[in-house]
Amino acid sequence: MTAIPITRSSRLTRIANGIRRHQTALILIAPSVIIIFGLLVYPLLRSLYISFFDLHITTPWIKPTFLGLGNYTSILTSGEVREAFGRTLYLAVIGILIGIPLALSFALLLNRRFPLRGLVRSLMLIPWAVPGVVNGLMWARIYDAHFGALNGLLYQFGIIHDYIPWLVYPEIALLLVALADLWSSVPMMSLLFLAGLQSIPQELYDAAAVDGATGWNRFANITLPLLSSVMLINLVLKTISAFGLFDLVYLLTSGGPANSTQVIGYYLYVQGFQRQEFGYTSALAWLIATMILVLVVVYARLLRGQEAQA
Amino acid sequence: MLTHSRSSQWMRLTVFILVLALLDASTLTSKVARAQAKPLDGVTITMINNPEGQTDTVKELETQFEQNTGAKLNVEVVPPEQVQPKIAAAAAAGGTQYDVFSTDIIFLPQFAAAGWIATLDDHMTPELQNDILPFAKQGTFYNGHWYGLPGVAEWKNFVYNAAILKDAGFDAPPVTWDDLVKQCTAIKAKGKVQYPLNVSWSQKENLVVDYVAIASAYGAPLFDSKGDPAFNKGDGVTALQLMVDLLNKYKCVDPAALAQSGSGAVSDALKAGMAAYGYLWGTPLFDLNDPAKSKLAGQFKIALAPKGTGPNASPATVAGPEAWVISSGSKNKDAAWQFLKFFAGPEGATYSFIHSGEPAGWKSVIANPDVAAKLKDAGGDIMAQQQLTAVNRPSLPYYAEWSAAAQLEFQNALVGKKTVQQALDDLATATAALKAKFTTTS
Repeated sequence: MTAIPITRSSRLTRIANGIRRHQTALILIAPSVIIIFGLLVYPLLRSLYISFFDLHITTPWIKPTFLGLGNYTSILTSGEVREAFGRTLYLAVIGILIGIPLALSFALLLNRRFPLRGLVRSLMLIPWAVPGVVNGLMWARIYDAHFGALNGLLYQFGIIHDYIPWLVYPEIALLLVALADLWSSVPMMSLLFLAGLQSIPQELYDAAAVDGATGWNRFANITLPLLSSVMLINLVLKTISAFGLFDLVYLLTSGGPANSTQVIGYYLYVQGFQRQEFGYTSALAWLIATMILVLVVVYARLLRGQEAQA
Repeated sequence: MLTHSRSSQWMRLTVFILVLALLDASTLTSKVARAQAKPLDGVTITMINNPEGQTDTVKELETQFEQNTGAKLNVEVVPPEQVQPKIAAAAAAGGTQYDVFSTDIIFLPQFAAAGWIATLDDHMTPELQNDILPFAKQGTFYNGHWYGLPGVAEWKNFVYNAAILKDAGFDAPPVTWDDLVKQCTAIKAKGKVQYPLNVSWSQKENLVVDYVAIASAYGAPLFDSKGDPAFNKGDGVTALQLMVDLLNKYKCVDPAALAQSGSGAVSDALKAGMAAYGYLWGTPLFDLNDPAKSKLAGQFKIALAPKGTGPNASPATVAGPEAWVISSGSKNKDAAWQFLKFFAGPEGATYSFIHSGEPAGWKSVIANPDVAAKLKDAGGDIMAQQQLTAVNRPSLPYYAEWSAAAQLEFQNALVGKKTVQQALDDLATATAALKAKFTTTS
């Protein structure tokens, strides 16, 4: 029996037949495909294309110049980007080191039975549900040098004797931005932990109790290992959100003093929307996206490893 | 039979005459209507503005223009920080989206160099040209061409709380920056105010504005005749050093200034009695001395800005003139010019000054008796003198980029990350790179 060669025309015929068979389905999904292509795929490809150019739309007397990988090498060798990246990592580390234990503590608390637990759980979500801009304005008031609640509170308790302009010190301004960010991000992390806690079978705790395990032993040997996947998810989300942080910086410090709070998300805004360096900004956006993608892959591998072990 | 036929003929004749009369009447009506038609009927002029600019007075002027000309004004109001990017995006896409918009002096060179705004050379009569105040001209004129009519043409006025000064033993405001430091020290020593000079020096445009004001008081040129940096030499350095010293050495300035933005915060601090001096745009005494808005109303006065020292010192201040311009892509340029002439010309500017205290860039408006009467109790005589020494920020086609670099380096000096000289030298290096980049044509 000899194989019949598949010719080009027969392949085309098969495709045509396929289209004819799925005509209705294709017509129905066409609008979505067009919208996704127009609003997502095309802009993505276009931004990749312009990332190879020196394109500055407010100076049309300078023609766009093809730079090849010039924008990418400029970014990778730029001290300003390096510093912004360092601040972003700082935000992520603060978010992870303070935010995750805090979120886990809240989740453990909310997992216990107590009166009005449902209400407390709902209230817990308010900071997360508040729009970023409102959150920023609220924290600007809290940190205000003259009328801020933080100063008022510390002054009332006798901890400070003069009001402090918190956001003017480069050494602490970023930490204060990070703390304001935790206010809105911890509730969501808590909720994820809570969901994880509720999926742990009670029998495991009962059995451990019968074996005489202490509370800490149960937490360290049952709760924490079984929450590792949620932990990783929170880790991924917190890292990504640090790269995307913009609104708080914009409203609290505008990147100052002396660029000390200029994180990568804000730097991207400055380059793209204030200086309108579209080529450079596109390249930076692609680099950030790639970096996040790498982190997600690493986290996902770790997660898979954890699940396999479990 | 005959009678019937004749009466029928009469009837037809009557109907015919009536029809003729009706036709004539309708023609007459249309003639009257045509005579009443307005010159810009059916024309729509689109402009973009921010909420602060779209005041009640501005709306009144717009309505008057619509009623007078028949044109329809389509005003797109967007937050202030979105105005420039929207104009840039619209211009890059052909410039047909907006017919008319206001541009700050810092953007005019860029917009003109980009060809985004139409030249108005043919419209600018010698009377109009001669009527524009010198500092406001720079906001409307670039590279030998006229591009607009002055919009809000403000300069910063030096205001002080006379009661606080009097309590501290001073009958007169400071004449020089050295005087101001002495007064500050005395005011602080007497415990009147902790930080007498209130300023907004966050990492924003307000920081550059104040540097230009202080540098101009020393007569420091920021750029030399070749357009190369001069701010890192002589009095340019002195000016930034003074700012650093006011903040860190004399503690005249509230450290919170490094995170404070805009004139509103300065005005609030003055009204709350937390400061004795401030630089404010517009006609600040209207607001500061309004009992409905200020508990300390009546205590504020305007003085000429403090002078620096040295041969070129003067009581100079900084100006921020805006211009109303026409997009080069506008399809209604003639109608847009009619609007500009009415709205931003001396007539409209006088109306704005009288009704909302918006300073104008026209000599004839400043000299107008009604305006003078309005400003009598608001320091009008000092304001009129002050505008003569108003200095604009550098006229650069890459101003936004330069300003961002300047804001960073000024803050580096203020927070002590760099010495004043190092910060200004680094700014000079950044400026040279910007100049090389943005003046290259291909």
